[in-house]
Amino acid sequence: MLNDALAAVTLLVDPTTLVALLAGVVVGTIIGVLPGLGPSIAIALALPFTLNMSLGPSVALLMGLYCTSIYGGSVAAILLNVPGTPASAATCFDGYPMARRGDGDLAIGITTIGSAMGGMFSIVILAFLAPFLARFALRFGPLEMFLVGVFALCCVAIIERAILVKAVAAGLVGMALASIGQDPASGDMRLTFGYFPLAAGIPLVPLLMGLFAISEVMMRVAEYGRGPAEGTLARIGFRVPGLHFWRSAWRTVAKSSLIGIVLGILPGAGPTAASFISYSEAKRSSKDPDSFGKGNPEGILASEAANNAVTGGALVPSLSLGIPGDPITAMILAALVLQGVTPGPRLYTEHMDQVLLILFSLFIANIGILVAGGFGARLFTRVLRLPEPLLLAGVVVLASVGTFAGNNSAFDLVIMAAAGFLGWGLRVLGFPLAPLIIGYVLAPMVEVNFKQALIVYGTDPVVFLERPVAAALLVMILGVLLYPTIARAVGGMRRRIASR
Amino acid sequence: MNRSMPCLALGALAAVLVGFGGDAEAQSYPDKPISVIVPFSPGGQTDIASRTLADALSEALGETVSVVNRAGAGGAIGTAEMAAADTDGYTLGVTASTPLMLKPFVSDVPYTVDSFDYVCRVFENPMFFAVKVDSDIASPKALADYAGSERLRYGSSGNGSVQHLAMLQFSDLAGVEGVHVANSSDADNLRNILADVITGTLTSSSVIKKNEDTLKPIGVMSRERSPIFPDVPTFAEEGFPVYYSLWGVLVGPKGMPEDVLATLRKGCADAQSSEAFQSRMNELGMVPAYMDGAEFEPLAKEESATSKALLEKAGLIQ
Repeated sequence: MLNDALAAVTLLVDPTTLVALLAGVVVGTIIGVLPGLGPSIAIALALPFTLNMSLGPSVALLMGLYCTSIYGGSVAAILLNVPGTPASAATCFDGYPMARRGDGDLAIGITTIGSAMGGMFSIVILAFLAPFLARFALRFGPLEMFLVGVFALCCVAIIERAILVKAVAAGLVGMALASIGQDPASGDMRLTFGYFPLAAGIPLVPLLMGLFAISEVMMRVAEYGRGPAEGTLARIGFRVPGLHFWRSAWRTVAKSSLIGIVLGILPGAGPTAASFISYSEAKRSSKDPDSFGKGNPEGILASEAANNAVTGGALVPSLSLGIPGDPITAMILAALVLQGVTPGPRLYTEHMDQVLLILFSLFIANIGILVAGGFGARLFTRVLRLPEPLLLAGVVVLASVGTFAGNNSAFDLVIMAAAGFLGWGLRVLGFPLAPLIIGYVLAPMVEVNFKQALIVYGTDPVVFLERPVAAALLVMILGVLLYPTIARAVGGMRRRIASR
Repeated sequence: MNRSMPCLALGALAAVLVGFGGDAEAQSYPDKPISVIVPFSPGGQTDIASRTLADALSEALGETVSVVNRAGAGGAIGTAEMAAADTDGYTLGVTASTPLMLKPFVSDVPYTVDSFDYVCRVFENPMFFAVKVDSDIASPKALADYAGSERLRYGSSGNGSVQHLAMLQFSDLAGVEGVHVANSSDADNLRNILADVITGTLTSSSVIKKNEDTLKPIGVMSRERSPIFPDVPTFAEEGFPVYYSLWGVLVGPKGMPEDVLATLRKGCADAQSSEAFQSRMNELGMVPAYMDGAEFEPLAKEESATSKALLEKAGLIQ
């Protein structure tokens, strides 16, 4: 083990490797911050380069890009209400209100620290428990994954309790949009209305950019001149809350990181489900749940620690079983295989140096988040002081470029524009947008696993007795749905006892 | 501002003229970068093979050849784009068996096997049936026995995919019935194998090589045993003559100028015989399978007709 660690460190302190890591951190942060560009584009761009690099630099480059591009997406979520990836959608809830009231510097500070802590925590777990965790992940078959998806969807009920009906409606719209195109289980085309370009479905980035970026621009243009008073001058820079904040917040960080790790390990659930579940748990267990969604720093922390903890978690099945959990880790895995890394149980017994190289790179990249956040924050937050017309025009340009670049498709721009109008309409009518995105992201996973579970286990409910994990998940779902009712009943009972 | 406008206009005009100039001199093809559409996401088998080819092709043609990923609808989106591209030879694509041969029959796509000019075949990976490494099943015969006594569940990359079709044919020959659990990626099938959700799946040698610790091949659907796994029997050896492979072919839209097509075919031959290409493909566990487009086209059409008949028999064509 010590020898392996030494070998990994030797590879890592090589100047080219360090330069690659630095490049990964810098480029990843920039790509993440720009609306429309995110981890998938960052890794896709790096893939051809790694073909001509040796193991150390390519691992360093990929790991640097991977976690900083996810982090960067949250910066855009806070400053512009435009999540860089669906995983940052939950960061908008509290990040954007904070930025609007002038506390953007604090929001960035919390995001940065939360991301780095979530990421590092997950790496420590990954280092010690990966093979064990991978075996655990295999207990999640189609039935269990279907239930995990449903559980994540149910968290909408906790997050958006005040506008429950509208939130559920928005979630269903998201699921409906996701079902356009190829049936994920059978490959048949559906809901394309005979229009072939729709066979690819509604792609994520155009939808995300339209729904959040374009509709945000439309909202701001509509209220231009009669928006919030000039008095709230945005603070520039990077601010970290004091110790008293962390004294209560460390619990949120630990819980959210754990949620992120667990969901990262599970195939297909990914950072979006993690950040939503973690956010809803933070809100549920908070003493002041009503402050969530209005700029509560703990909300940012919950979402950020969870979505960055997924990075470590997602590498578990990729490295120890060779099963990537999402398209991004699939690309990373492909690049690693081309470098001669053979994923599987033997990687941990025979090539621990390679595993450690990956973990060390990821760890340093998380430190890189702190540095990039610290230095970049002055630049990022300055965006808030740009004259509004300039800022909004810039958002439209960047969102369009990001949308087009993802798939080199002009049709995607049409989708972005349409999603912009949809998002604007929904906002005007008071529908929340985040449930739409979580519905859209989770629908394919829920559907495929539901169909497969029916094919494999049939319709006999006895399967829940044979599969304890599934039964436990079912209980958890009922718990989430009934929680408000139970809490109210318990509260009522306590009051009655007290009054007696 | 005012003074720069005429300059800009002149510049634009010049750019347009240069653009036209390039087109007029068809003999000097290629005189600008060529893009190769890959109808799948980066990192997959077709993508990596295409990038390897693109590098070698750049050398052979003396122009940059770059890969553009246009994923979606199981490869149909990118393949449709290849069919609809300009016939000037600057937009090509590498498409694969399922989108080219089978999609036109099972889905409503705007192309058929006749919509393309075939440049050359790039790779041909025989399909292996892979099971969990500690499984008792060790040969096609054992698989048939297993299917006779237990419930055989197999993965594939979708309804009417090559894998699905091949397994239907095998089940037919073995007189057994299997349960088809469709999935959209190799990774999902692999997870289902390891979690004992499915018995196994048809996949390529490169996927098995990458996952040697968890997967084992038990049979190959080629005419001869594969040099990559020489101990693995063919399905035909054991009485199940099923022949399928996963291949990729470089195509352009139908109607490219003859000299352009000739240049491309020669370029592709040179590229594939290059040392760099050969060794890279070897590393990837892929079988370089150069075949000239003129030779490949009738084969493709024949396979397409056979597939159509099989799909009809299986009731997959409405």
